[in-house]
Amino acid sequence: MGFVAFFTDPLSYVFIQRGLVAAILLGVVCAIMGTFVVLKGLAFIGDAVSHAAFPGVVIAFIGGFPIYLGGAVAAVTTALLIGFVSRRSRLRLDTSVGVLFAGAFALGILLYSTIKSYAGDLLGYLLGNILGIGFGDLVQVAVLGALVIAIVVSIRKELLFATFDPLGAAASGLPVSMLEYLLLGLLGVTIIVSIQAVGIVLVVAMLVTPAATAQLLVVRFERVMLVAVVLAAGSAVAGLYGSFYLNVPSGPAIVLIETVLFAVALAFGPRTGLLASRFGRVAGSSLAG
Amino acid sequence: MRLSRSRFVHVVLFAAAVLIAACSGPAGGPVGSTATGSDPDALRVVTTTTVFADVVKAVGGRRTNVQSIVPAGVGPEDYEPKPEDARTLATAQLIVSNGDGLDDFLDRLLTATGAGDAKRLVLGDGLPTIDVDGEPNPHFWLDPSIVKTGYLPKIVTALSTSDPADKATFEANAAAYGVQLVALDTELKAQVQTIPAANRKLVTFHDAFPYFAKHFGFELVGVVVANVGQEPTPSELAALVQKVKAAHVKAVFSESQFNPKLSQTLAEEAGITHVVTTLYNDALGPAPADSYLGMMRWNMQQIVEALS
Repeated sequence: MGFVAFFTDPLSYVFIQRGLVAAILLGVVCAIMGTFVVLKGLAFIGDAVSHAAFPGVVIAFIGGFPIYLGGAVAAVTTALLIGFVSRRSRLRLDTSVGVLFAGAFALGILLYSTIKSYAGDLLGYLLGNILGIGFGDLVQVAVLGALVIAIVVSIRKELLFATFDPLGAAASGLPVSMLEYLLLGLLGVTIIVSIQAVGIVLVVAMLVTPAATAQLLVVRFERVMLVAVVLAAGSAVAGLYGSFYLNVPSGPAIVLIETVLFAVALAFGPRTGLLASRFGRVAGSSLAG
Repeated sequence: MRLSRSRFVHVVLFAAAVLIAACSGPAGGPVGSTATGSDPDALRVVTTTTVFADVVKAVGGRRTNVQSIVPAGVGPEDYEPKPEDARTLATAQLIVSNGDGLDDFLDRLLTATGAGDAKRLVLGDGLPTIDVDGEPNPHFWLDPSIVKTGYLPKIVTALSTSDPADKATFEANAAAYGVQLVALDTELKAQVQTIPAANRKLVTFHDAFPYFAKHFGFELVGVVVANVGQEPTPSELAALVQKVKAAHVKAVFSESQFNPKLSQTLAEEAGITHVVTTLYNDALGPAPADSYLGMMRWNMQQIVEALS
């Protein structure tokens, strides 16, 4: 097989083309949002929001609304509530995530048990597969991508300031709480749209792993974001092609490549790896500082 | 980290579910139970799926109180038992399952809780199997002749052992239901004849239809997932697309308990416009597919419409 054919052969299938576009787009969007997720210690939020969508799905089913809409409303509401509870209670965000997630999912189970007619696997209908992406999904993902990139890029300085130094940001007149709610709301939308396209496991990994890897490699926030985006897009392409030629499922292949890159960065990266300890002083002092 | 977190999550959810089950009380039986129309002293039968509940009820009549663990519309192959299921099982005098990998969750559940005094009936035991990749396929009931000759005698024997006084009733009910099964079979076979012979080809989501296909004369071209819960690889999906194209398949079927997206992908890629997402197989559906006989008629009607 020629070099060109290696890349073009799989593309003769529309589902591979769509999977590739969606994986790259979602990889980029999730990496951007993931940089904030990792900084704020919210690694758990992908799992949480996806389960918190369940009561919304059930209510939509009972009320006869589209279940995707129900799931999206519940996901964004939960994401915003996570911020509200944490603000009010002064508990850490991840604690508030844990409380709301379990509560929302339990509410979903309780409501589900009240449906006496035929309901089927409601939550399963919300979970997509990267090979099963329809044209409508692709449009949703593209709109989401444009929205997230436009908002985050245009106010990244404010978002960063409010995330790193909330007190200083508030003192200088930034609407810190509004910025946090905006970030959480965007996260809610990102997670629910991504899950419908590619499923939970891939979304959780895309949100956390590339940004975590990037943090091991570079220090400055904007560089972390940029490196995370490159790692995510690269893993998406390598994972999809790799899964095609090695005959393994695509989602797990993408996640594993991201994980291997993380391990490599951990072992050999300039900040934490073997190189860092070999030439210890400089790297060590920059970490401490 | 990821694993321990998700395990933590499951513990939390399990605890929440226990609490909810405890609060909802014994009235909140699973959806799809056919507990209506039973004598107060009726035999308590618990089945794994709604399909078996319906067939057992047809034999047991008022002398049985039958309840299914897996609700209507939910597949048994990847079913996660809930705490209330253990409570349902604890009240059973007879537990009916299929075996051959369809309802393995029952064994896990019984290992955890113990079967108590309940007797067991495994419907698939000893039936001639169609093996797929060396594994016996469990979906016997989609061939009504196997229900009549394989399931019914076993159900009569099991019910009569638990309740010998009503043996004659069970035998009479089974005979009457057997007549209905024969009528169903004749009716469905006549419907198959209306499909052009070259179109009698099935592509489904999971491998539920080998007995059905063999009995009614369909060719099984392929399935999207080899086992429930697995994902197809891109090359498997691509190979299936080629197979489906080469066989000139008219429609793709996606069983109702699964997300139809992958089946829609397959159909679109192979240039097939017809995707049927309302076949019921492992569990009963909404009316008119809310009984075994109704489900079989409904499925055949969907298949005939799609392939003719």
